[in-house]
Amino acid sequence: MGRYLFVSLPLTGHVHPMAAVSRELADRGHEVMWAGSESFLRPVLGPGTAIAPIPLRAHRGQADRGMAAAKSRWEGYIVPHAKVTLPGIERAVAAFRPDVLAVDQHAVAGAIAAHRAGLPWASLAPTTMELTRPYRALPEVEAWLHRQMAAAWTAAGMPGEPPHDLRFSPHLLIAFTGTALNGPLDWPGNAVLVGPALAPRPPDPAFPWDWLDPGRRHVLVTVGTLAMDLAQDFHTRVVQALRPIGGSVQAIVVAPDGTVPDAPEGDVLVRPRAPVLDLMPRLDAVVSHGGLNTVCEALAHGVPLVVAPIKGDQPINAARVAAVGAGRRVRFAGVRPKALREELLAVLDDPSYRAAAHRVRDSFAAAGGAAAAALHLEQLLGRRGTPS
Amino acid sequence: MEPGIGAGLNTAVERYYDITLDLYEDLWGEHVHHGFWDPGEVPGVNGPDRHAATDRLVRELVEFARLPAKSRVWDVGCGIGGPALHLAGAMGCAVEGVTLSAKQAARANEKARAAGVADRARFHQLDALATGFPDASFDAVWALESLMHLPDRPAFFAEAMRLLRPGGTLAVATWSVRDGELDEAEQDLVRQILQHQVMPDFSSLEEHERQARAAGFTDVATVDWSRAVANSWDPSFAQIRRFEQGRTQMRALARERGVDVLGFFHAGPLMKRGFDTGVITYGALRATRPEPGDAAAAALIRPVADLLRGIVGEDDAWLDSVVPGTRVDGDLLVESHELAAWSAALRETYGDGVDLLGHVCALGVDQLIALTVADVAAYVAARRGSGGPDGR
Repeated sequence: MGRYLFVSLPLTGHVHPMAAVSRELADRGHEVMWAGSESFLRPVLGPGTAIAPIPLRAHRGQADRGMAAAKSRWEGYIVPHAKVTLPGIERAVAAFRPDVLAVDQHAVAGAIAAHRAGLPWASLAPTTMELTRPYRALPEVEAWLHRQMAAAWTAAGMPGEPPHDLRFSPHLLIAFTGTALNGPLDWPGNAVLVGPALAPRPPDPAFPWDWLDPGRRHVLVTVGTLAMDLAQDFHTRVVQALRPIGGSVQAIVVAPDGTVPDAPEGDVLVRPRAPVLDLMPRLDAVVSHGGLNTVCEALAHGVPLVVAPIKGDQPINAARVAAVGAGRRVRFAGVRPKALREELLAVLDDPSYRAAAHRVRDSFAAAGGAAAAALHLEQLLGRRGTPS
Repeated sequence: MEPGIGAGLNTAVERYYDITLDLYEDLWGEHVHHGFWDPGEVPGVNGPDRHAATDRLVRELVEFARLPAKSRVWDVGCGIGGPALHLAGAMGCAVEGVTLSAKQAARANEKARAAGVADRARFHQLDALATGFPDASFDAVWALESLMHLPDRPAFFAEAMRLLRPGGTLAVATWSVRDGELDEAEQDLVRQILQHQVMPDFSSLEEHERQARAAGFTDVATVDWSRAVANSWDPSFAQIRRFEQGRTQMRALARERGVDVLGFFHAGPLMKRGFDTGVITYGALRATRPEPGDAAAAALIRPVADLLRGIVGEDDAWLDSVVPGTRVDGDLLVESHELAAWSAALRETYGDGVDLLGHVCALGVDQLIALTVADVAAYVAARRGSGGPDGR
């Protein structure tokens, strides 16, 4: 049996798929520990998982978009986070003596700690941001990214330059997407695409299931946990788009109470959170910002999407959904209610979108999810790390 | 005390900083402004000490505004000269600082002499909107946490425009509020902070940005630093408790200096609540006074933007909202596939010498973020008719 140390960032979308893998490993008899913010991780991981606590403030997200968002993500979050968390991660390595580290691609400190300890480690990709290397056409940007990682390396007291790209372990890369959506990747050679790693979530007993009218089609509208400041205007347009088709479509909009004005009660249900996985089997379409978790959860259930990407890997995911025919892409900032309604009706009415979503669903199921990820991680037991 | 306007407010601000000068200097050192921390850093735990954090804020603003060394700088609301001494010292700038508080100006001049930079840093008790400096006197205007005290911010931006030379840089860091409507409880919190801090009102960062553009500035950019500075009000950092040595002493202080001195002690918990709830924000703004424009490039802005309009499926209202300083990345949110289509359309219209995609691919991160529609128009104007087989 092995000992696995998980290192991620306090971001919901990052931790959920990794938590499913950690649970799978524990079920198979391995010892698992996480290093990170206990107040953030505990509700996701549940009471039974060991956590080496590193006090951290939650990431509230930034209003930046586009390249400015990439810059603030690295300079304002990933690199400082690496600096602040490295001592705690290395204490956890010393105390827990893991055989393998499972490291979020954006938790650079985990990669550095694995190098220093000479342990084998896997990179886990809960987003497609780094996976498809969207900046490789921009050599100056790619060079800047490598300078960011080199700065974290040097700040950790490591000699010289990082021996390789710290986002990509030389031992194993696990991505929570499938080849039918994102693949096959042309790089790196050690990548395995296991599909979404979904774990059951606590039920939502307060959800008004009898509000759903079986005679109408159902749409879930969700733009993730970090974009609430940007979402209000989008939700207003969503409600305008839905109004004329209320007779045939009911929508559940995930948004804080009171932030979606004038939602017609019988047609649009506004909830601060929703039991997304329980809802999926009853949905006909999902309108989403294109976060990889939401996209994969929808496609794992064969539900087509309308994707309005905001930033980060979302434009990449939106492009892939459109390319494989499982949905349509709209502009988050500018799409007018009429155009949004037409795109949504196209996805609802044209069976080709659902058929494409079903193809992706089947490929995800074949990829194996958390169980496949656990199998690959087990193969790292007994391997040597890279000496540094 | 009610927040005042005009001369009454100026008198109140003057008085506030006269009577709290030593308190602030004791508390925050020579920098009467927030500190700056990386995410996750906690003062006194794993973060730098107070002086390192306030020094860092100054360096962050220098870097964000791209303030050139050896600039002639107008420092609006100079306090006791902490930031100005950095600009005059390490950066070799020549600084003229203004403050409403005679005591602050005197203390700042004293510190400049002690630092040996009295020839490059001079401080005056002057109203920022009535300094008497001639047009285009400065390479840079520096306003670090002073705009909150100015009731007429559009007039400030106009005055900054007047005093900057063409091509000169405006650097602002300021307290602000969340954009959009505030509910009643939030408004009440803001009202209390304004009263205690002798400020007329707050603008949001977005409002500052609009005011700067309206005054004619270009390359206007803002950054939200709320999370980076919020530690300044953590009890462990603010250490205001240290001063609250009992009611008797507080009463003595109020008797000696007037009751408004107590606003200083109320600020901490209110500001902490403001940052914790996101009502109070904090950010920086940079902007440039434009050079006399290139007419050919200016004439291309609308047609170039119209080609993009067709690609992103927007309407005429969108086109009307595009101004020369509109950023391709942060404002228009142009994605890579749209950029490729725009590049192809520009090549089709203006000849094979125009390769926007190639041009953009060679840019660095900061250049990509700063790229404006005016920059694209200038690139097209320079490349039009070159390199194409038909030489259009």
